[in-house]
This record gives sequence, structure tokens and C-alpha cells, in this order.
Amino acid sequence: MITSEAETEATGEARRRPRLLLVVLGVATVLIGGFGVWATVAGGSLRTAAASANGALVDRSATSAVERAVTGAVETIFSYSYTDVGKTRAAAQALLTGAAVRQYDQLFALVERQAPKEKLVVATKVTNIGVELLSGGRARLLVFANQQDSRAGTSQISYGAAMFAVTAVRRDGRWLIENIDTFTRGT
Amino acid sequence: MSLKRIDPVVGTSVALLLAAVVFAAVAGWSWVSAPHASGAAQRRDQALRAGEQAVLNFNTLDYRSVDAGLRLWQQSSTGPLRAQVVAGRASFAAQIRQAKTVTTARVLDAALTGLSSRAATIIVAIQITVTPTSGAPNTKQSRLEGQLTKTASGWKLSALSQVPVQAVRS
Repeated sequence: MITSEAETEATGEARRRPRLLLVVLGVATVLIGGFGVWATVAGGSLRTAAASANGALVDRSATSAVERAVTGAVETIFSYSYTDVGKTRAAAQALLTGAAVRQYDQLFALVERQAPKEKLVVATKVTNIGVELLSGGRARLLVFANQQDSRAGTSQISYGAAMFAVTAVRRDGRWLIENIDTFTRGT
Repeated sequence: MSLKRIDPVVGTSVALLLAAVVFAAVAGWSWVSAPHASGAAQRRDQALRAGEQAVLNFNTLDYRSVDAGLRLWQQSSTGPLRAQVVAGRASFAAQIRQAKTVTTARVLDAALTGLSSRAATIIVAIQITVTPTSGAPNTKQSRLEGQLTKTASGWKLSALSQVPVQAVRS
């Protein structure tokens, strides 16, 4: 440190020392600050890349969380009993959003007409589910499901196979189904 | 020691250096803790692409070029599936030549349901069209599940089957 003696008795040699010190301090400041700038830019670009990167199967906990949520939602909205179709519709309202609401309404209007007439009980089970895309609160999944239809009062049971792609969005920490693609377009 | 005793220029320089150190430490930590690109994502994309193509190959066969078609099946597979193709090749080729059918397919969608360093499971929604020499083509949609194994020459199918429609256990 500079002493008061050095300040008062400012000889040529004493003045050179602070100058050297200032140069050293300046260079160090530039180098360290430069690293800080570089690290900020590099960290920022890594975060940007990660935010748009596909986390499917790579981010294991997020992948299994969205798989669990969509499996539960699909099994809930496509399982119903003729005795209480309203219960399924009410449950579906909390699991769907966007275009899926309209898609489901169209489908379920048919169910509400037919199910009581035919005393239909439908159970849906997801057999395979895979996440294709998982990024920024959006996900696309391919779903294979089996449906078991039984008619009360008869021993008639039929089985159906379904495959469709689901788009899910994360709202307030919960995954909601936004779209269901049944691959009927362009066939 | 009072502030008066320190050269104001030196004091400012030291303060700037300290500020730079704090800034560099914060920025450095932000860089270190940022998620770095993973090899797993690359592996997943490669497995999915190769799996889709292999499943497509296994659902494409023209009776006019059965040998080339079956050679592609062999190239797309490994392990038990490849052994199956090799063993049944002659009789299958004869069958297709007799039936005179052309089978083409379109992958509607595909996803991996499992991934490790050397193995993956793929599910594929596929549309298969079988065209006989006379008569209308027959199109159906199918649900397939395949096992992928990483070999020296990339990801290959080691098993492929239709997902069965079974009783729903509740």
C-alpha cells in the first residue's frame, strides 16, 4: 500500500511504483472482466440452446412425468360407463385445453347418445407411450391404447386398438392435452 | 488506516479489480452451471432415425425385386431378427413371388419408449399398402414395436412385432 510518506515525498521513483501498480491492476481488471463477459455470453447461449433443446428421454424425470400425466389423462377421458357419462366428461374438462376440447366434445356427444342405449362400459388402457418432443412446457407423445367395450346385461365384450399422437402443454405445473392426432388426415 | 492515506487513483483501480473479480465469479458460475449439450440427445436422435428407416424397410417389398428387398431387411437387422430373416429368406422369397404383391409403407409417427447406451425401444404408427397385380390395393394402419441394438455399423432392429390387442386389465 502507498504510505503517506510516499505521498508527501513524491520522488520520481515513488511515482513510478504506483504507475506500475496501476498498470498491473488495469491489466488484471481487463483480463478478469473479459473472462466474465465471455462466461456470460457462453452461459447465455448454452441456456438458450438448452431451453429449445429436446429433453425427450434425455431428461429422464421430466420424460416420465409427462408420460405418467398423459397416460392418466388418456385413460380417464376415454373410459366411461353408461351409468355416469357425465363423470367422465367432467373429469375431461380438467385435463383438456385448446383444440382438444372441441375434438373431445364432438366425440363425446356421440358417446352420450349411444352409451346409455347400448349400456356401454368402456375401459381404456395405454399399452405403449413414447415422448418424441419435450421442450419449454410442450410435449408430443405417441400413444398406443387398448379399449375394452362391454355391454351390461350381455356377455358381449369387444376389444379395440387405438393409436394417436398427443400434444400436451404444461400449465401451472400440470400437463394438459391440447391436441389429439388420430392420423386420419391425408389417408 | 483512513481513506485519505490511499491514493484515490489506486483505490479506484483496486475497487474496479474487485468488481471485475466478483463479476467474473458470478458469470463463471453461471457458465459452469448452464446445461451443456449431451451425447444422449444425439444418441436418441440417431436411434429414432435409424429405427424409423429400418421399420420402413421391413414393411417394403416388391415381388419384382424380392432379393434386393430381403437384402435390405438383412442389412437393417441384427441378432434374433436377422437370424429369422436369414433362415426364412428362401421360402419367403418364393411366397412373395407367387403372391405377386407390392408392399409399401408410410411411417405416420414414431417415438422411442426406452433408451440406454446400446439399446432402445421404438414404437411406430405405420400405414401399410399391399397392392396385388390384379385388384384394388389394401391399406391398413398398424402399431409396431421394435427393439434396437447399437452395432458397429449403427442402430439395427433386433426384434419387431405388432402390438397385440389384448384384454384390458383394470
